Amino acid sequence: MTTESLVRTEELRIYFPVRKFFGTVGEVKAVDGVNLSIGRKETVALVGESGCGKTTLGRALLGLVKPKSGKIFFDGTDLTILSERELKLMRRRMGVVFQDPYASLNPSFTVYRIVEEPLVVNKIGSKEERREMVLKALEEVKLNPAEFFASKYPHMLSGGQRQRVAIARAIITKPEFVVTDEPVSMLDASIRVEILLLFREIQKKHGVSFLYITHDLATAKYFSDRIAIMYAGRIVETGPTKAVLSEPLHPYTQALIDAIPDPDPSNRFVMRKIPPGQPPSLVNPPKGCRFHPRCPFFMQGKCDVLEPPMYRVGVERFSACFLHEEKVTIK
Amino acid sequence: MSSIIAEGLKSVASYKSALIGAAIILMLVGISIYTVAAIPYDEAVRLWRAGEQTWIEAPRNAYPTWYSYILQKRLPETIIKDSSKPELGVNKVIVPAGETIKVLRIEMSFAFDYDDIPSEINIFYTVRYNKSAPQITMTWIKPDGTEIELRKFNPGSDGAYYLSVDASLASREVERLVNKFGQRPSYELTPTVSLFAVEDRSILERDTVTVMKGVYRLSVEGLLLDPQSDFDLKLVVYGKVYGWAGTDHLRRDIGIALLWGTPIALTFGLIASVSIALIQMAIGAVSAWFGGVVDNFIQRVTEVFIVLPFLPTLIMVSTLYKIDIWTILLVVIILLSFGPGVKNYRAVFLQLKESQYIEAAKAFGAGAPRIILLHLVPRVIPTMIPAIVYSVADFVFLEAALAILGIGDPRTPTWGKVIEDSFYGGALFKGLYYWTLQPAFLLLITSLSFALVGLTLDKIFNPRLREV
Ligand SMILES: Nc1ncnc2c1ncn2[C@@H]1O[C@H](COP(=O)(O)OP(=O)(O)OP(=O)(O)O)[C@@H](O)[C@H]1O
Ligand SMILES: [Mg+2]
Repeated sequence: MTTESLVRTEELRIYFPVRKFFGTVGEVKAVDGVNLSIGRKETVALVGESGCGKTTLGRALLGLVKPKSGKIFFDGTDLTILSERELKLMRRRMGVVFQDPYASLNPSFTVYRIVEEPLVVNKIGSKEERREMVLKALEEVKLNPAEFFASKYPHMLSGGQRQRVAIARAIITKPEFVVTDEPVSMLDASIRVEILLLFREIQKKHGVSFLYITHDLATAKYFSDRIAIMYAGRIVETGPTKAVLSEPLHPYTQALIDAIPDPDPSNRFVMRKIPPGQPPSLVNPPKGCRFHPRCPFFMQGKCDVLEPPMYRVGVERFSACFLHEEKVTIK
Repeated sequence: MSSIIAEGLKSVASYKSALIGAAIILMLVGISIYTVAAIPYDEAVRLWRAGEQTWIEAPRNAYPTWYSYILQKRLPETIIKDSSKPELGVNKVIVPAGETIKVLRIEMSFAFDYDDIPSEINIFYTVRYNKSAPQITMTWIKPDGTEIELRKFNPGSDGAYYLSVDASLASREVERLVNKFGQRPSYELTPTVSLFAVEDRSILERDTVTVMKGVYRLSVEGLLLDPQSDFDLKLVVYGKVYGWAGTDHLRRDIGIALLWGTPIALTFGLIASVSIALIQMAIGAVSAWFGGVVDNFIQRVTEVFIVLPFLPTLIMVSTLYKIDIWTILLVVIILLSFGPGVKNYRAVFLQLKESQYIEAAKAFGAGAPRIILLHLVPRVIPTMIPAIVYSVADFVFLEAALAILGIGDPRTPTWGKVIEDSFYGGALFKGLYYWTLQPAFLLLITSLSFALVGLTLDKIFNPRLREV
């Protein structure tokens, strides 16, 4: 475990009710017992198939969804017990960049107002000070000349430029922690690298912690220090990114990497195919290990009965699979 | 949002139909401003409700003046001569003829060169005396010199001589014509006709009667039997046209109702459509934002209001309580506040609420009021504008329809009221088309103009919204 973690969750559970006509008929267990920690100035990639709960986890870290149980610590404060007012104050210290640059900006605001809005809401600075901050933030995300872009409306900008505006908005309050939810997946391949470089630059300059949500292993490798592999509402493996990708421990991680069709020298880890079988229902997840119906190493009477604990497998490496049972001690 | 609206308005100008619509709306607004400035509302209501006494000098069911141009015929206008207000062609002399007796002589003359016979003739008189009422003889002298004694009487008090309906004069006239031409007129001759028609055999047939043009005279001779005695009269020869809009069965100037109908229709339509749209939007926003119990409650109330039959309810309310037009407006707004629009707006807000930029706003700490007012509502307003503009026409029509059904405000002069009167007055049956068609035309161009502009706004705003 990182000694100094900025964000940490403990047995976090987030369930959404499934309604039908009258009353609730079940729950979507979007996040089901997640322990995750993100250190200061650390970038953690959260990788998993679509619908496994990545976005929900990210939103929870920002205090945007109320968890059913568990705790979320931000700089030592438990967000789950804060009032809405106190939460607002904490949110000043966080930022978010979403996937869709077309939907994440208010189309009726100018770029200037979009970026200024967090300052206005949090009553930071005078009008002149705010102006300076906005223009500086626009320069920082390489929207030059800043004055020119400040007067534009989102629909006048390209996807990449919009995403830069979203980044400027996320960093304007000088947050310590930024959640980026698939920030490049909707962008042209040529722009992705630029945006990721920008994130890295910002991180170096301001020492921001990042949670980088993606299902693209290639960019995760490129951008993150540590990686967390999520499957059906649970984290199945964490560890330093390079180590996990070159030597995956959990069968699911292995399947993810194997699914990459062409491991050519440039190491383009793009997830093309999901492992065989279907991702499980989050309303009625499989008993025991959730991956067991698709797992090549399935052990009858064990994997479908007991939930595998997190095993410590080497330095900084954790994997929730009974295969490690003999080799290692329980964390 | 302001940019979207500004751009939208700019592109409106490139649509011809919208320009026409906008021009009509501007004209209606101009008329409204003029009306409100020129005829105060209270004055308009007073004139409209005054009854026949105020309008006694106006012709009944007169055509608008512009009918003369259409019919290519000079239709008579109203001529008024007053002996107490001497002018050219009005002479009054009183000559002493003894100790207390005086002789009164009033001569009135006017040129008449219209192509039609007047609609009516009335003489209003005032009289003053101590003991004995004066003795008055009135004689009508046609341009060709034909003298017709109208009436010989001792007016005991102020009064009116309704010449057109004087039965004895009518029968004397028939007799005179029988003596002159040896034949009775083939129709029911009224004094108005015989006083103005050419004195030949054409007068005997209704279809051949022609107007005698020239200078007519009314000659009054009287014996004033008291020293203080006096007599004055006012001759009103009612025309067949009046004002730019004509008059109704109560001699009222329809123009007043048409003029005042404009600001009333526009205000009614605009207030109703804007406030209903805003209220529905606000309710939809609250419903979508808070969800849960609030949402459930609002949705059920909305459903109740949707199944509530609008018109019957409105009719019931307005028959139970005799209400004026602004109360009707209020009732309409209340009945429609929970209309189907609530569901539409709720759906739009539910969708917008989940959008990422709202999530982003929550993430940097914006509160609910700020998000709703600054980030949600401005997104919806451009979509509302075409609908609001459209429905102005609907509500203008609604107001007229209510008036025609007889549940409108009887006090206020409105287009619908004029149409209602025209129905009861049998306007279309009697060929008084102007009475019904003028307000109907105004209603039509009003709704047409709003429809044209609304249609264009729809074209402009909606594709753009889909795109952004
Ligand atoms: N507000 C909500 N109400 C109900 N169910 C929800 C809600 N948000 C998410 N879910 C459900 O929770 C599950 C996880 O969703 P989530 O968006 O977190 O997945 P994800 O990993 O981000 O997927 P993707 O890669 O497609 O973005 C899904 O089954 C989704 O339907
Ligand atoms: Mg997601």
